[in-house]
Amino acid sequence: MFFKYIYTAWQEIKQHPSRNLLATVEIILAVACVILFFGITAGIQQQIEKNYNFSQRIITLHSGQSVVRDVEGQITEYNIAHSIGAEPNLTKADWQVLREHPEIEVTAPIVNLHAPISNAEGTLMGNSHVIGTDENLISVLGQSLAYGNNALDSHARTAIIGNEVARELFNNSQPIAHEIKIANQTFIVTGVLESIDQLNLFNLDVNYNRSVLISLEAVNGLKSQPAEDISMSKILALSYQLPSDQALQDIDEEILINHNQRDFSLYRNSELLPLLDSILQFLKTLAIVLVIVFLGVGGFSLMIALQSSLRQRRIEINVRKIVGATNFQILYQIIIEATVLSVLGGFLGIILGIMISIFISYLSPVEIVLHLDSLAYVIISMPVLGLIFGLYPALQASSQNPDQRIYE
Amino acid sequence: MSYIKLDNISQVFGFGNTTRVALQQINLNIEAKSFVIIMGQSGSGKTSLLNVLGLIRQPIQGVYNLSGQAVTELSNSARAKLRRQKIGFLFENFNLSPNLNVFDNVSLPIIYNRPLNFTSRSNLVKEALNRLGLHNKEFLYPKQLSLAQAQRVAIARAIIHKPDLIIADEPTGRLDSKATDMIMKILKTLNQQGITIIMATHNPFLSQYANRFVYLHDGFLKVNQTLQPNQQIDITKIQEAIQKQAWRRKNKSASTDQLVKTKTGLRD
Repeated sequence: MFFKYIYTAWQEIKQHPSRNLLATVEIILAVACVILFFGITAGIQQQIEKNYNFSQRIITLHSGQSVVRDVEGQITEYNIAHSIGAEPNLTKADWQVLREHPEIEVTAPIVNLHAPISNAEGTLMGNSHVIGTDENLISVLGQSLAYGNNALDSHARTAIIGNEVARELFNNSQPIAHEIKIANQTFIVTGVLESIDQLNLFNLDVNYNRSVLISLEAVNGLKSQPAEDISMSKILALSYQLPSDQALQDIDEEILINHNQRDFSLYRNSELLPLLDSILQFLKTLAIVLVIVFLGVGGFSLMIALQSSLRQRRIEINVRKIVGATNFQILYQIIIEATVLSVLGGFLGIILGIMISIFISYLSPVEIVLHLDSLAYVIISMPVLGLIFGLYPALQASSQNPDQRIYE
Repeated sequence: MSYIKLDNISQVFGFGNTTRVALQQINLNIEAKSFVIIMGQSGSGKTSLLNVLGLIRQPIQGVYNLSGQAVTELSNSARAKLRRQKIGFLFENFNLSPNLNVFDNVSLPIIYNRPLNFTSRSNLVKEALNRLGLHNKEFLYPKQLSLAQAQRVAIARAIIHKPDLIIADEPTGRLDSKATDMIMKILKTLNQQGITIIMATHNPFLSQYANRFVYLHDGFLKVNQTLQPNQQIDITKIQEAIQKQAWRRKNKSASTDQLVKTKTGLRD
């Protein structure tokens, strides 16, 4: 009987495909949102975890006070906008402090420069960065070169380019030893970076794939500044092991002496992770709330559509009752129909969600992970949704007296 | 013992100022294997009587015995069970589900009756369709059938569970004369095979197929007589007689009443 009712539900869906599709459109969208939201949060979490092990050893010093600590020294607030928009105020003296600390293995200063980048033919690269640094940056970031060598010569004007720069300006041909122009000054490409995972949350301010790395001295030349006056926006330091609290305190005190005020931020990257975790949890909770709302709306629209459908099928229901169906059998049949509709909507929603996820992953740096958990939630919740929201129309239809309407 | 016995059956609809008495103290005995034609003007109570006979509605008063079993006080589910075991239904509009093909429409009664595997169900459906000359039409939909074919499918649905009784409400109302003749011959054949048929109609010519005639007027049973084979009822005379009776009653003329009753067989 159960399979017979499923067959009857399928027949009804086949007979009125557009009406039934409209009934499930909210559910389809809701389920697609479930897949997408959970996929995005899972993707972000995966990327954070992927970078976590390495990033634990990195200390970041950057201009602007974007980190707020409590009395115990725990970070309670991280204002990412301050870190991106702050005026560069780190000096060579600050760099020296980090370089000389016994726990620090390597350091890499970062000076951001906005300048037009073009190839020898004059083709301009849009939305790009010029970064003044030294050859240690690549190892501090834990990245590697696709090809070429990691030489940023202060005298010969050499540059290491990101892989998107190589693709756009050199059309995937070998760019090594080719010219690249930065603010109309010629540099020679010595290396191309491997594609860098941009959703590493420690690289949010700069897209290294669309950057050109040059030496600090070369930046001075472009800015027409003496070397002593150079101001850095960030200095990354890689420690031998997990940086100790004492090391951080020592560095902080020395930098404070250099600056006379707290206009800088110093932290271990690993300290940001709990904060990011709480943001992630918030996003997950928000996603769950939104999903519940969407599914509720979807279920409600299913109920309304089912009511309308049953009103049009009252003669059929009456005939079924007259030929001997009990109220319970009619109720059971309609609930199965509602469940079939919601499961079908869920299935189509899963397909739509997967397609949108693939589309977004292709077009953006956001990595979306298709979480089995979200599929499980959908598979379990769809029949429940059909049962809950099909109950009222089923009760209405099953309780109607057959004789009153049979002759319409 | 009568197959169907109605004792003092009354039916009322609505309440308060909208109360309408559909049946008034109906007493009726129907033998098994009868073919009963019920006639009356619109609003005379034909449908209400069929609803009571078909266990669709419970009367507010009276006792209904079906095949020796008192069925008036049965629960909804018990009546539904009896309907799917003993009674088949035919309607003027056929009432085939447009979403189901012929096979599924015909098999509706047996889906609810007893669990059957597909093969058994399929055999029963084919047997019913073959009896009505509808083989090879199992997978058509109602909209692909002619009116006569649709009514034959409805008859197949009505007989698939091998009922003892068929309740038919104007089964030929939408058919032309040729189709009407065909359907009536099918019903007559079913009756000869042992099924009791109770049919409401406006068409007096159909009385030639029946062996019992019942006439209702304003909820009262006015005529209940046996018919000879191929006997046709002159409905006009009956209606005239009823009108005269009503007039006489209004004017309280007893002798004329007696004369009218004798001539037409009318009852009070």
